[in-house]
Amino acid sequence: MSEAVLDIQDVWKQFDRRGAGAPQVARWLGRRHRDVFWALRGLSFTVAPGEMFGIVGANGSGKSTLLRLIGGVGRPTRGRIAARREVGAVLTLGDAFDPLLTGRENALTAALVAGFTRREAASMLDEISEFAELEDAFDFPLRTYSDGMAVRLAFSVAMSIDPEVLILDEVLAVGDARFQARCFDRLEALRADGRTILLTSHDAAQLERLCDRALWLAHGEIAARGTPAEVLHAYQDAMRLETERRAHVLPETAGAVAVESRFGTLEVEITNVAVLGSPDSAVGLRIELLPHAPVEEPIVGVSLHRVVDGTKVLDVSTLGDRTTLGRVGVPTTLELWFDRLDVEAGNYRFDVGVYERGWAAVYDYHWQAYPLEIPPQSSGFGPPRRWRVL
Amino acid sequence: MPEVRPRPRRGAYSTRYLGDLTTHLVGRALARRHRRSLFGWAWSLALPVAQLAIFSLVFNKILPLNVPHYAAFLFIGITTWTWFSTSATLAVGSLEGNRSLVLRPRFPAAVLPVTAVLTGLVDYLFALPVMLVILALQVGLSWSVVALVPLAAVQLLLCLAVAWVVAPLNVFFRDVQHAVTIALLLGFYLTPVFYEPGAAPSSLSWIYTYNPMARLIEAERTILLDKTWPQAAPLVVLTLVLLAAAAAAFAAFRRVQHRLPDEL
Repeated sequence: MSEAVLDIQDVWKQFDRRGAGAPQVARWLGRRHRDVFWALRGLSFTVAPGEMFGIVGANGSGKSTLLRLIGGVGRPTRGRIAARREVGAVLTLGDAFDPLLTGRENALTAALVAGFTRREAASMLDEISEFAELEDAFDFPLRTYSDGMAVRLAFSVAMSIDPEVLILDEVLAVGDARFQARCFDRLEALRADGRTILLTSHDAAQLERLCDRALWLAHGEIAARGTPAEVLHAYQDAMRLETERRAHVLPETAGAVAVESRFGTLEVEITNVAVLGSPDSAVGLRIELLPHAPVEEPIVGVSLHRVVDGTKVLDVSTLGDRTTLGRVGVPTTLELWFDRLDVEAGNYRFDVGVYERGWAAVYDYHWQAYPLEIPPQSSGFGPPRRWRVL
Repeated sequence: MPEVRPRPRRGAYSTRYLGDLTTHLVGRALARRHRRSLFGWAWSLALPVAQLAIFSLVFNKILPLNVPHYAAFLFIGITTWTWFSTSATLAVGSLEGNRSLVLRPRFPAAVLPVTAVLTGLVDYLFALPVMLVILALQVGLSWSVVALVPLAAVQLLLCLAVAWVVAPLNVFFRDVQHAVTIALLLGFYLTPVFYEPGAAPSSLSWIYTYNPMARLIEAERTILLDKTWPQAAPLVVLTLVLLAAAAAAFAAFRRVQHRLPDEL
């Protein structure tokens, strides 16, 4: 193996919950200050040139802190990080974007911030626009963009920066399937060119497909490392155990349609789900959530299965559709509406689940609990179409 | 046409890059402020002109100060002070307001306070034509106006020194933004913006002696209104002191820069 591109040696990182000013003031006042915690506890690993290296871990496991330090943002409290090539990172997608400015202006800002001169940045714009498939919209203000367009722009900017070491933090789980496929192709091409790529994702299957090696971070320590298959399976097993450990005895939900299967920690319960509308027009789901303690930004997911063969015909989530629930501290009701379902006639069941932020655990999951019958020959299904007799 | 793809660099930033980045960020700050507003750029002028109007009314008619060429006298003070106060106000929030930039690898965070200062300078430059018109009407113009350029350079040093200190300080202690607001309010009255420093009793003259903004405004008035040259020695001393202050502030910024991401 050639010399490592990244050499992480016994890295520790301490944070202060009340901000760095607090211990200073405490010292002035002659008091001791202990509101500190270690986000990283003695990590050591190396990444070889041309490797695609995946990092998994629940929220708060120190993933983002680690990636930041590798990107040269801040310094470890102890230990050493040696980067032998220049490191570029997409730590968060597009958060530097300004809604009032156009896609072009925002892309220019991003490229300048990444270290390019104005002339270089300007020469990159065509490629960015092309990869993002924005066409005329490139010169419209960002506030007119759909979420998908904004994400495509952000990812295209990230790709065009093309450093020797690319860090992608949870940015692959975005965009539609076709765009994602192009992003993967691009990553493969970058790797073929010898770039080193470090990525995190909550999507274990994605990491398993892409990465050469993986590392599982738990509470700031390395819980496992090795091939993606080994590491990700260990991680998923642990997540399921964690969910089971936290699960109570599952009570039946009152008034719900027969719940065939239900699991989760029940820290947030799905207390009621109603199917609204009619298959002839729009179909909606009303989902009632009961949090037993306030939770931040839970994710609600809905999928639809065909009963006859169990095929999943639809899988959506608030995260995927970039809807945030914010802090959920009181019983909350939300509705999901489909203008059309475009599925064949037959019997279907909805799955409804509510998850901890970052898919870290399952709060409550109702498996194939809510039936939906699509009658034969109901009008309005299928793609928009017309017949002409000539 | 084959084109060489630009590649990211390692090592120190080139002057051209820092210039490009700063210019772009200033342009972005101005575009953010003016786009989708009906009168756009005119708002840059609205504040100094409104101040000119209200102070002229109060101190010409209600509490007459009997300062000759009061409009010109006043506008010099207002524009110069406004640049300083805009710089400090924008700088104090410049790091928090651009958190996502500070958290980018290799982003030179020191350009953000500079951006704040230069955004204030652009407003100042916008007000200059108005100032020249007022001068032309009240006292007549002469070549001495070019002396504004070196004076603006000295003020730039002052603004940068303040910006590089308050911006990181506010990241560590969010109290700083409130303190700056109050300091600017007090500073406005303790600087002879709308009155003559000679009106103060001599026991208070130290306030003006050690107030760099008072020195700058006085020098501008000497040149533009009296059309004579101010005493060189105090201005040279002021320049050297501010040069040292700006250098020290920059060095301090560089020292704490690596701690900023943890606090944002």
